[in-house]
Amino acid sequence: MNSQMNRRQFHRLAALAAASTAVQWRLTQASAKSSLPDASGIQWDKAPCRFCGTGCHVRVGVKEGRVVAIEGDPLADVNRGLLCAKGYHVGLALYGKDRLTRPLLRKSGRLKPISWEEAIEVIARRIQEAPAQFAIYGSGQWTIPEGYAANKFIKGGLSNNHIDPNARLCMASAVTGFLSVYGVDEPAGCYDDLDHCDVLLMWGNNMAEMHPVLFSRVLDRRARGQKVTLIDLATRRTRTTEHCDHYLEFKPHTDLAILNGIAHLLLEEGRHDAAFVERHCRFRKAPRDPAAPTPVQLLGEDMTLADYRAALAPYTPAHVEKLSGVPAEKIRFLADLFARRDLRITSTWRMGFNQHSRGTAVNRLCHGVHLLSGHFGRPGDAPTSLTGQPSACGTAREVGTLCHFLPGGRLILNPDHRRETEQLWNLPEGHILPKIGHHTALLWEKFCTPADQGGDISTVWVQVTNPGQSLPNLAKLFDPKARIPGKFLIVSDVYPTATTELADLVLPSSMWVEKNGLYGNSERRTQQWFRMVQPPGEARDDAWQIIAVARRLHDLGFPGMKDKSGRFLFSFKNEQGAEVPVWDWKRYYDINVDKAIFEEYRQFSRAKHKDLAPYDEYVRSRGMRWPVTRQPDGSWRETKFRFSEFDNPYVKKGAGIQFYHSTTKDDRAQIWFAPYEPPPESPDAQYPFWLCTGRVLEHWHTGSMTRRVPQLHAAMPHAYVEMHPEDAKDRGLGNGESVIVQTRRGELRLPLWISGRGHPPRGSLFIPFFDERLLCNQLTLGDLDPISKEPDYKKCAAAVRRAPPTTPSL
Amino acid sequence: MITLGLVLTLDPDHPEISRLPSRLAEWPECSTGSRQDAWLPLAVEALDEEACRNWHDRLAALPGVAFVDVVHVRFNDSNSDSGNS
Repeated sequence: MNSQMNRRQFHRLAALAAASTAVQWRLTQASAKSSLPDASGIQWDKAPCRFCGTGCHVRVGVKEGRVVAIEGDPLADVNRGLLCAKGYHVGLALYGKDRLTRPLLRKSGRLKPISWEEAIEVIARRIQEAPAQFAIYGSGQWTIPEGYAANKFIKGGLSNNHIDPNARLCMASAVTGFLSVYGVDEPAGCYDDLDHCDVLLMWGNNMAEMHPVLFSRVLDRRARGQKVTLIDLATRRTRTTEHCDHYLEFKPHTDLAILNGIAHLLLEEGRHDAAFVERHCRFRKAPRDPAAPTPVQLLGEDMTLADYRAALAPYTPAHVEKLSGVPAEKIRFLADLFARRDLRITSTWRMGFNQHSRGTAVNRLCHGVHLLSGHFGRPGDAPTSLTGQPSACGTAREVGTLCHFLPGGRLILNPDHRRETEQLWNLPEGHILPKIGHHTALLWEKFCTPADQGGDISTVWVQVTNPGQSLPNLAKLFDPKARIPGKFLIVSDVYPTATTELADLVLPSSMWVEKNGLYGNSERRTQQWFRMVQPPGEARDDAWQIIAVARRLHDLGFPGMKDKSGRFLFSFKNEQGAEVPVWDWKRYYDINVDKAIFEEYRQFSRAKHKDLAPYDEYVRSRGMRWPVTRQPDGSWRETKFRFSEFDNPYVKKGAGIQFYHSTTKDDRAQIWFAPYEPPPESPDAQYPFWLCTGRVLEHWHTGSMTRRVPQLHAAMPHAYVEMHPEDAKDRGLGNGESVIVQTRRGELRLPLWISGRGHPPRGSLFIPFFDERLLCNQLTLGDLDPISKEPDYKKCAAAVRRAPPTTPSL
Repeated sequence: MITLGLVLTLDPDHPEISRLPSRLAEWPECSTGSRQDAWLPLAVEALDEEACRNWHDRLAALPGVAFVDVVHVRFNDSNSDSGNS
């Protein structure tokens, strides 16, 4: 009993010490270590959090082969010892009772256990039969080495570019925005901007719930007495709104009009930063031919300042008010902020801009307002997109697992880029297919179409994602698989999901600290961790699965699995120079495969000035932001503010700002004009509501991990539909009552939540997408942005009616 | 038993901020550290997993508390076989 009491007291003291350490950091801005020795036998190591793209570092406590404790890492710049509710429970996500532990093959309609050898053989034979009809669908949850291995396997080994990550569904429009404005992807600024800005504009970005640690960082400044003006521009009130100085609610899809309204006022009143624009910018508009190929759409056409001014002329405050519902004086208020040089303004956005049928355009406009007003390049002056997955930037964007990319920002359609990649992979010239693969929506549409009707994808291998829940318009893009013979779905995952329900082959995967890994977060920060515990049962690393299939194809004589010197594509040597057969699971950890892959990948990183440091530098650090450059003393230095002379070594001396990957080859960024256009589907008499979908604090993405954490599940057990109280009253509906939400794609039965966490305005509904039993993507429109091919999940027309009384309620 | 380490960010101008220590002292599950400016470190023992979230929400709703951050969690070994399926 005494021992028990002592242990409890010790745990309480340890918790208090950790909290006091975090407070100390806030006071002194210097890292502090807990003075309490850890006598509980826990081994601690660092890792980035498994969940969102913030990239918080955690200290992972392991005892007797299990993760037993988690702490925010006080040495990490990103989170400074703090965690949100998801990061705080990240350890428990490993231990759901229904972890997948054996390979399963569907036989006579049921999934039956098989050996790994049989599973690898099945995949290799499927690929060998029709390599051009094979596709890989991954995600921003792939580690960097996993994504690199998959990318090299399919693009280098199979000469097939049908690989895309689910990041296509969440940040492809940010990519096309950055590419068409700066000529190179990813934000110029970083989280430090949050420490320096005077104004934080959150565009469709519920930061308090989706990136709480970053939001806390801003609130922290207020607690220290600093003035930071927070502005929430959104279509629904959220927890973020409660902390904001201003809430500007706009009609869905009209963010383009608001941004044009700000630009119009800046120009008309001569309050733009003429010197900045003159020196660093050009003006751009969409090509005349709306059907022009994507590369042409990305580059656009030149326009003069006078043309730009004329194009903006209709966007008077009164007109913008009419379109958006935001009062004209508030449009003036925003323009007045941007007109002030004494303020530093940071804009952040996520899915509100990106999951938008005009996502590329609205991304461009936001960058444009910052450039036009000169709010760019100083700490605190930045347009910054945030990502939702831990390595959407690191793996999807930098490794280039999108169907049109090659590693390091190279493009499939660029002959020089293909040649460089072939050289680095030691492949014969012309080996990489000069045709981009299917993007996500097309890939799944082709998979869900019979071969004789043009369905040219017969086998899809899904890793680390759950398309059976996250794809839009599931009735079109996923469900038909069940009815089409000859289609074969392979799923590598850690838990059963909506996707494994239709899978023909299920492979159990290692997760997070059950394997080595590297992630790249939203602010260009590359982060590393080591395996700390063993995966359960027969679960194995995703990168190993790829390498094992590649080796089996190699042994079957598939020519693409050898480079032009006759070496296996994934040939790795130990320190003695002997090749290690890493395709044999028993030998996989004889060497650090992650390190070997990363060092190979690192060679790609310099072409677009995304320079990465050697692997061991990331072992020592809590991540570094690229470009990471070597200093004369041999140390490695990260870059916080890209394109700014004071911090970025690639900017010419005296340039101040230099956009060194400018699409116009003149070191200038592009200020785009894009008109407001009505959305593809709007409420009408039959479907009178706007329907928006999104996330909640407790659950990450499709909930396949967080729904297995009891406290998160208990806090948010199922999906719901939010409705304005007056709308409910008009229909005689009460809180908790079951209703049917219907769109032109389908219908869904849900409990109604009135005056709950979020507060949609009249005429709007909101449904979270985490619940696999209540698939809101049976309802979503999924109309694609024409350039990024990212679907719109944020707006479609819906109707609501009372459900039969037998359904469960809140 | 789950042990939490939390940081409360306080609103120093809140009229009821002076009552916060006595409110927290009413809960034997809570141990507070020294308040430093606008931050108060706190340790909490929660009986079960659902109680963790309830504590979080309860603390966030206290007058004078602006935000609750999590910094530490120690799971009870007997609860580590989690699962809701």
